Amino acid sequence: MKILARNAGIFKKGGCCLLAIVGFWLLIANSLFAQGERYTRKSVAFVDALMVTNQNIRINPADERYFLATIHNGISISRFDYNPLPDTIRHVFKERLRAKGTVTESELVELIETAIVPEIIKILDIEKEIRAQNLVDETQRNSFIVVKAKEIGITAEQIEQVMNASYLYLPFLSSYRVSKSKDDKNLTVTIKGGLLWYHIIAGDDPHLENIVTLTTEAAGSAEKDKSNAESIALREAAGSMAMNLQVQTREINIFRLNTPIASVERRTISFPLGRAEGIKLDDPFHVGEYIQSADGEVHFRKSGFVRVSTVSDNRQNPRQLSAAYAIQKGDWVKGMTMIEHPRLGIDVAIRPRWFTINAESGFMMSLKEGFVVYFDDYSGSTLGLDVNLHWNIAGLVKKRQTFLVMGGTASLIPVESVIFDYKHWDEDYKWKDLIPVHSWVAGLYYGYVGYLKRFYLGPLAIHGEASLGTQIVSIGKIRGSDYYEGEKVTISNYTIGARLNVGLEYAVNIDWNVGIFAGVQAFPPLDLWTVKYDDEEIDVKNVSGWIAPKFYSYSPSFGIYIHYSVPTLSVNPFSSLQAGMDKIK
Amino acid sequence: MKKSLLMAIIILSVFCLATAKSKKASTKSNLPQSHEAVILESSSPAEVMVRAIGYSSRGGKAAAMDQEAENDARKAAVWLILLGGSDPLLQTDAEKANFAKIQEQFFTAANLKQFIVWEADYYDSRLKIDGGKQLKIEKSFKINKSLLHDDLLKKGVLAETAAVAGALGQPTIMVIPETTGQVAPLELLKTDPNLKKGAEVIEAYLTARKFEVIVPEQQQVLQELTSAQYALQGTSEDYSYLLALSIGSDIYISYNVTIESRKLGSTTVKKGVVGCRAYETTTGRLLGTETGYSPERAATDAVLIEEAMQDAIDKVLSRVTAYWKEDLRQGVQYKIILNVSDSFNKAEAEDMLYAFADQVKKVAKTYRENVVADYTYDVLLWCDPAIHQSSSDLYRFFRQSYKDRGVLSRVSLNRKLILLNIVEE
Repeated sequence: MKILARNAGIFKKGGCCLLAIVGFWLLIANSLFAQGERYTRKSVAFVDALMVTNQNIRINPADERYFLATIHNGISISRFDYNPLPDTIRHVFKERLRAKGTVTESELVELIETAIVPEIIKILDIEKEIRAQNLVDETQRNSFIVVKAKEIGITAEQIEQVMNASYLYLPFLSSYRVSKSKDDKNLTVTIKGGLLWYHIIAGDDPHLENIVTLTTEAAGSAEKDKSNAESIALREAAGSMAMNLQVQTREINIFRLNTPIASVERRTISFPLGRAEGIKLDDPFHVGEYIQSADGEVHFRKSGFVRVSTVSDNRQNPRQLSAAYAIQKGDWVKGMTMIEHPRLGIDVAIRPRWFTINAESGFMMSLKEGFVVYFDDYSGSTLGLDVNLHWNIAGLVKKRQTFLVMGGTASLIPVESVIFDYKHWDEDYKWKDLIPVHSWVAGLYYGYVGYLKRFYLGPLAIHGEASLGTQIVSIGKIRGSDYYEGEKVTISNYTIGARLNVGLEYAVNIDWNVGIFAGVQAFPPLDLWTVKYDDEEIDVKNVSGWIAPKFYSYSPSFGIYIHYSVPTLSVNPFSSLQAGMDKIK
Repeated sequence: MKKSLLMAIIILSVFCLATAKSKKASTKSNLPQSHEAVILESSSPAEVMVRAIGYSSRGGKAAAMDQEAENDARKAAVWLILLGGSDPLLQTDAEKANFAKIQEQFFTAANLKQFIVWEADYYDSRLKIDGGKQLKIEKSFKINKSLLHDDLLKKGVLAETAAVAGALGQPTIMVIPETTGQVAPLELLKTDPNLKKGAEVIEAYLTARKFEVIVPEQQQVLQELTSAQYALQGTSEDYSYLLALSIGSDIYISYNVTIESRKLGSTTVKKGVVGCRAYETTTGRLLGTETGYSPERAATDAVLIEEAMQDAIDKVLSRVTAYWKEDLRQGVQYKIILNVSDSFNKAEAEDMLYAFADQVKKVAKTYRENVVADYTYDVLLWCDPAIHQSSSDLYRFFRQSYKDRGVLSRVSLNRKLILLNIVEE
C-alpha cells in the first residue's frame, strides 16, 4: 500500500489496530498489578508529522497543521518535561520527509532516529542535570554530599535515569468519515486515530522502541451551509480526540501519577504531588497498598478513593503537599499508595424524572406556512429522561465539585392534537395531505445549561443545581409521500424557564454515583412557534390570537440520579475549554 | 457433685490458660523483630545513615501495624550499629553480656528516639506480606553513633573499656599514603592534593573519635627513621612501617586514592575509590582493610574522596578500636630491639641476651620474642601501665636491673620502640 505524502508528511502504517488496542488495555491493566514507586518525571518530544494509515484520507494542509497542534496541545501536560526541537531541525526533518515521498512506518521511524533522535539526545544532555534534581530523594538530601559538601547530590545513575526517561509520540489517523444526513442541517466528521508512543533508547546506538499504541474515536459537526463546514467539524473532532488521548496517555503505567500518602487526618489525606505534576481539583485517585501473596506475587489492593481538595504549588518547593478528601475510605495510614484514575472530568448523568405539565386547548395558525394545529387540554404528570453532561469546572472557579451542566430531557405529553395542512403550493404537497393528522401524544423536550455544586460527606453527597433552559412541545407529520420519501414537518412551541434541583447521592465507586433528587421547574407559556422541514427550521407567527394553545409547567419534580465519569467521549463539547483550562497554571 | 467439681476444674483451667496467654501478650519483647538493615553512608564522624526494614505483628488496625513496623525499623537501625554488621559498637563478649542486661529497656521507642537525628518522611518501600497480614516497611534513618557510644559508656555497657582507655588514652595513630617506594609518602602528601585530602578526612575522623593523631613531619622523623632503619635492617623495607615505628605510633593507617571517570553525554562523571588499611605498628600486622566507593557523580575530586573515604574509614576505625580494646587487656605494648656489641664472643653475647630476657620476663605481663639471633634480641612486651607508664620508665628499669656484662645503653627511645645496645664498659 503506497500513498502520496503531503506537506508535513502523510504515511502509511502497517500495524494492526486490534493488537494495539489489546496491548494498550494490557498495559493499563498491568499498571494496577505492578508495585510502583513514586512517579518520576518523563521527558517527551514530538514531531510535526501525521501518519495516515488509509490512503483514501485526504486532509488539507491547514487542517492537518491544526490537527497536529490540537493533539500536541492536548498531550502537553505538566507531568512531562518537553524537549522542544529547534525550528531548523524540524524544517530539515520535513524536507527530508518530503523528499522521501511515500514512507512506511518503519521508514518513518528510521528517519526520526536519524534526524530527530540525536537532537533530542542533545537536548537531554543539556537539560539532564536540571531534570535529575527532581530525582534526588529525601535520604540523599540529608546525606553528606548535600549537607556538608553543599552539592546538589545528583548521581550518574540519576542522570542516566533522565537520559532513559525520554519518550516520543507520533499522531496517526486510521479513519476519516463525513456524514451528511438530509434531516440534519449539520454534517459530521468522524475520525479514528491515536498516538504511537516510542521510548527513546539513548546510548551508543540511539533508537526508538514502540511501547504502546493509543487509539480513540471522535466526531465533530458543523452546519452544512458553511463553506468550510468539513474543516470546522474536523477541528472539533480533533479537540475531542486530543482530550481522549490525553486521558489515555495518563493511563499508561509509566505516565500514571502515583505517590505515597504523607498523612491521614480523618477523611483528609495529604500527598506530595501538585502543580508540577498538573493535578487538578477533584482529580480522582485510588488509595491502597501493595500486597505480596504467599506465592510471592505483588499486587495493588485498592481500599477506597479520594478526590483532590487542595492543589499545592510544589514547583518551587517540592515539599509542599496537596490534599485530597476521602470519598470511600478504608483503613488508611501514611505510606499507603495513591494511584491516579485518569478521567476527562466530565460525568454523564442519566435522570429519570417525574413532573407535571399543562396544556390548555387552542389553535396555532400560520397563514404563511399553511398550518392550523389544534391542541386539546391536558393537565397531569409525565415521565422524562434527562441526559446531562457535567463538566467539572473546579479548576476554573477554584471550588471543589463545581460543574457546568449541559443537557436535555425527553418526554411525552398525552395531549390530543390535530394538524390541518393546506399548504398546497408546496412542491411535496399531495392530495392526501388534506386529511387532518390526529395525534394523541406530543413530544416534550427540554434543553438547558446550569450550574451544579456537590458536597461530599464521605461516600454520600448532596448536590444543588440551578439551570435555565427551554421547553419544546412538538408534533409532526410527513408531507407528501411516505416516511422515507416525504418531507418531515415538525411544529414546535417554545418557552423558556428554570429548574432548581437538590439531590442526595451515594458514590458506588470511583466512577459511578447513584441517588435521588427533588426540585421544581417553572416554564411559563409563551406563544413562540417554529416549523421545521427536514433540516430547515423557521420561526412562524401564530395568528390565532387569544385562542392560542398554552403549554406550561409549574411543577415539583422527583427522580433518580445516576452518573458515570467517562474516560473518553466521542463528542466532547467542552474539549476546547478543557484544553484551555489545562494551560492555567 | 463430682460433675460440678469437674466442671469447676475445667473452667478454672480455661481461665488460667486464657490469663496466661494475655499475660504473655502484655509482656511483649522490646527487641527488634527485624535484623535487616544496611549502612548507606557514614555521613560524618558521629553520624551514619542507615536503611532498615521493620515488621509489624500479624493483623490489627493499619495505624497500629504502621506504628509497630516503623518502631521495628528504628530498632533494627540502632541494632545494626550496636550489634550488626562487620564492625558493631559492641564487640567483646563482655560488652554484649552487659548490654543483654539492659536491652529490653534500651530498645524502648522513647529511648531510641534520642539517637535518631533524622528519619525520612516517606518509606523507601511498603509492602503487606503474608497475604496482607503483616506489614513490612523500609525506611532511612540517620543515627548518631557517637551519642550511642557515649550512652553505652554512661550505662556501663562499655565501662570496662572506658576504664582501661582512660588510664592509657586512645591509641596513637599515624596516617600516611601508600607508596610504591619510588616516592616518599611525605613527598606524596605535599604534591598530590587528592592524597592530602584523603589524609585530612581520615584525620578528621580520628580526631572526632578522640584518637591521638601523629602527623608525620619530614624534619622530625628523618633522624629517627635513620635509627629505625639501622635497627631493622633486613627485616623490612616498608617505608610506612619504618616511619610509624620511628615516630612511635601504636597504629598506622595507610591509604590510596583513585578517581575513575567516564563521559556521560557531555558530562564527566567521576567515582572516588579509596583503599584504607590499618596496621599494628610494632609488628606490621594488618588490623583491618576496607575499600570505600563514592557514588558516581559530576563533582569535584575532593568531595568524592571524602565521600569514599567516609565509606571506608568508619569500618576500619571500628576494627582499630576492637584491636585496641583487646590489646589493652594485656597492657601497654612495646617493641624492644637489643643489639649486643660484636666485641663480645658468641657465648658471652648469648648469656647477655638471656640475662636481658630474664628482665623482660619480670617486667612484662606477657611478651613475644620475634628474633633471638647471636647478637640481636627482638621482643614485643606488654607492661602494666600502672607500673611502667612510658618507654623511658621501662628503659630505666632495664638499665637498673641488667647486671650482666657490658653496659646497657639506649640508641633510641620513642613511644613504642626501644632500641638498646650493650657495649663493653
